[in-house]
Formats: sequence, C-alpha cells, structure tokens
Amino acid sequence: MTVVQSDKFRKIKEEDPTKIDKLIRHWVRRGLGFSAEPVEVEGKRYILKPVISAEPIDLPR
Amino acid sequence: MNIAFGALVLLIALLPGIVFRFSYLKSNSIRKSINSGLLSEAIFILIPALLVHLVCTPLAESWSGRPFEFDQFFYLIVPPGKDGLLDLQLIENSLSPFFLYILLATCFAFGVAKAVRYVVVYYDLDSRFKFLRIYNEWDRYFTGHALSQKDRKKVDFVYVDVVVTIGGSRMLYKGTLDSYTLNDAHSIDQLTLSQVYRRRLDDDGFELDRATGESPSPATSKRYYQMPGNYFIIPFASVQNFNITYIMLEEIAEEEALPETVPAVGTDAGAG
Repeated sequence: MTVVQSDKFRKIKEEDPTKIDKLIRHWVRRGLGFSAEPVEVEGKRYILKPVISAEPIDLPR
Repeated sequence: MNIAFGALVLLIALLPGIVFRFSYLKSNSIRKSINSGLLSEAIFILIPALLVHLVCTPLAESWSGRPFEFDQFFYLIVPPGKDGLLDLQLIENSLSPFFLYILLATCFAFGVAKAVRYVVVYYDLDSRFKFLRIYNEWDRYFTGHALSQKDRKKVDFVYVDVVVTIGGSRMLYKGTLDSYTLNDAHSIDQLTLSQVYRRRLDDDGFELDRATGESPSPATSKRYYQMPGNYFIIPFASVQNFNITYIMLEEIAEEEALPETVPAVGTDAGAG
C-alpha cells in the first residue's frame, strides 16, 4: 500500500536523496534536542517539522 | 431457461453494482480494504445496482423510445413454464440494446462510485458514518486520513519509530515509511522503511545538563547506527509497538538564522 508522500518529498528524494538523508539525520537529532538544518532545493530552504504537535494516537490493536 | 442461465442474467444485471462496489472500496494493498461480511458485500452491491437501474432505465427508455420490458427480464431469471409468457423474438431483438444499456449503466456506476468516494474522503464522511467506510484502520493512519483534512494537506511523509525484539533485546528503528502490506486478516504484514537508524531501546538519550552542557548518555553517534541499504523491511510479527509522526517540509525564510548545525551521525562525538 502506498503511504502518503507529497510530490515535493518524492521529487527531492528522486533528484537528490542525500538531502532527505541530511534532513532525517537532523530529525533524529532533533528528537534528542537538536534543531533541523535546512536543505536547499531549487533556491528554497526546507526543514522538517511535525504536522501536529505529537499527541499520542490510539493505534488499532 | 435453466437456473445457470438465470444466474448469469442476474449477474449481468448486477454488474453496475459490482463495479460500483469495487470502484468505491478500491485499495492498493488488498482486494478488500475493509473486512466486510457476505451480507454487507451483497447489500453493497444490490443497493447501488438498484439505484443505478432506477436512474438509468427511464433515461434509456426516453433515449430509445422503447419501454423497458421488466416482465420479460423477470421471465429470463425465473422460467415462466410453458404458458408462452416469454417472448423470445423480443428478447432476441433486445439483446444488443440490453448489453449496450448494461455497458452504459456500468460506466455510470463507475463514475458515480468515484465521485461518491471523492466526496466522502473530501468531507471526511467515512470517519463519521461507518457504512461509508473506505479505509481500514491501518490505511487511515498511513494515508494520513486519521488527521483532519487541514492537517492532511500538510503531510509530506510519514516517519515511524518501531520497537522490534531481536534475540531478547529490544531495538528501536527510526525511518521514513515507504510502504506496507496487509495480510488476509487485514493486519499489517510488513513495513518498508528507508533512511533507517537503529539503536538499542535501553540506550535512551537524556537532556543536556544545563550546568555543564554535557550529556549523561552516550553520544548519538555511539547509540545510533545508520542502516546501510536503500530499503529496510520489518516483518510486523516482530514489532512490539510503533510510533507514527506526520512530517512536513517547511520552507524557511532566506534571512532566518540557521538552526544549530551538527555533523553526520557516526562521525561526530556530539551529545544526544
């Protein structure tokens, strides 16, 4: 099953996966107290951010 | 007419309903996205088929200028005996128009199913009304439909933290969720991740000590191991639990100060 992934994310991943690697590396750090470092894509700078402030979700059993 | 022929005619008549059901509940992972029983399936086919015919038969009658001979159709399904009620000549003449009608009604059902599905998803009706449900629980979480429509539009990808037991020790895998498969029981079969990092669950990190600026836990580079390879597949049977985070790529202004820069995991001695 295809998981939700935006065109923007897919495009960056296809054109330069190292940028996603870099964002994820910083995301791993961010969970431990570090901020994300932006990556530049077509002149725009992006960082990772949670869509919603992490409220626990009740997963189906 | 024998029973098999009657069943075939009935199946052809129900074709718009069957197409409606499969178009509405289409899932990429499995044939049936929700675990519905035989009765639910029958209702989900019969009612749309009936509604499509109710709409299409008057249209077909007005378009062709010929009345729809429902009694003859009934006699095709239920043999009338030997009293001559079945007009074979009429049936022979109606064969092509009937199949054309079924074809058009099926196309109509397909279009209506797609439109209904779009409206239901757009207005989030499937989470409010059980009979409209399109996605199973896992689909809802992984496609972002567990979120409000406003939040769903922001999602760029899904990030998961998965706890897996390997040889008595618990490992935490973190990565972007690429895909998943469901088994026949509508449970997850396996997860496929990329950009995966792994650490022992026991190696939890701690906040930096404000006074010394040092971390009491081992450095991130020592706790996390970046998994080589492009994709990492986890059989769901080995998963104890997992955490889902919806992530968005946020554009930041040019003049905005760069957040703290850290070297790559595995090469630094930074705290984490």
